[in-house]
Amino acid sequence: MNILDIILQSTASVTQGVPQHPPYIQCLVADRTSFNRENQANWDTLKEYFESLGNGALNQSESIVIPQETEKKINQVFGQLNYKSDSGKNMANELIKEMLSMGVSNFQLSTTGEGEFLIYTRSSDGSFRNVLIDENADIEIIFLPRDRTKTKNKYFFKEDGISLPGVIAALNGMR
Amino acid sequence: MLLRLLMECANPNIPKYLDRNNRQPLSERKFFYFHNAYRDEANANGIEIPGGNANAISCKWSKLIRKEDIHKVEPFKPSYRFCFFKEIRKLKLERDYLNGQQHQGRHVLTAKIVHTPQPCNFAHIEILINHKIFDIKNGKKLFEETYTYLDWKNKNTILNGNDNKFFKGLRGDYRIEVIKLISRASSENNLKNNTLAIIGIL
Repeated sequence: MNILDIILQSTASVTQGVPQHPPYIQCLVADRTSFNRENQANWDTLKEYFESLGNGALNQSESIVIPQETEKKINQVFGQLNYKSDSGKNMANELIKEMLSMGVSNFQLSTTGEGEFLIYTRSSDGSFRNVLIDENADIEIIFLPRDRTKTKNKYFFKEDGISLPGVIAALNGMR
Repeated sequence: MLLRLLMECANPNIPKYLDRNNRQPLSERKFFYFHNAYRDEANANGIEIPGGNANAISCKWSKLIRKEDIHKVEPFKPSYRFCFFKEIRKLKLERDYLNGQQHQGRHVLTAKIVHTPQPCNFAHIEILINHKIFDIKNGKKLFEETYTYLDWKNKNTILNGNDNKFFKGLRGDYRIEVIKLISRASSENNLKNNTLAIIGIL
């Protein structure tokens, strides 16, 4: 699912009476005509803008309820990981709430061979968007296109402060 | 006797030539630049590797296994990814670490291929991480180790025994390089590609 898909899904959810979008999504909808990945300067400015707005949106996700099936799977994955601290679990829960609040529900939960909590979506073109959360709550996002030689990653460290909407936006911005 | 039993394959579906049958691992001199490392595609998502690691990547060696038999050895998947040994040897990741009290210097990660036969898979090889640290000022080598599967699993290495940003970034980026490296789809494993590799064009 790319960023435009998320916007379109979020737009649809309003008409179905689901809670209002977080502000950074409204900003994206408003700015979608000027969104241009070819223009890195525009992209960076826009990303920075909705990342800052996204910090405020974090509180909104607290009211989101994780569906029972998803929660069951989350606990199953945590069981496999044997995290020694709760910070990674909390981060994974917050991220899932954030994704649900954005109308993204087609994600899969799993683990990596390095013991990270893995949330991913698969696009119809065969690419994968992965969010990896380790037990210290540091995040790595990985875009795995069909052509794997073009795989990309980016880190978000807890000690630097993590904006979850920023993480999702960055992942969706990867091509 | 016990050692011999551990080295024998009890699975009747495995072709006889893949049975380890007490044979010793082959030396690195037998690795030619145009040989392939085959990696089963257990999951379509390359990062989802249950039981797998960024180090000691399990592959099969083209010299010792026929293409049509790759899927007969676990995990029984019909498709695989592959790369040429030449490409594995070219893999290099270099980063300077300046702020740490310990392990300061230029960190260089390369990949090392070793033949590690299993009872039902004599063609089994592993791609291991070789980690070197050099003094940035004079280039003197301060440390070198090739990490084994057990080193990595038990986190007994400098690279995965440290959880600061530098080491997380370094091993994460190495993992990305390995995904990029073993990226050719099995459908590309054809005479043309192999011929180009032999004459050194690939």
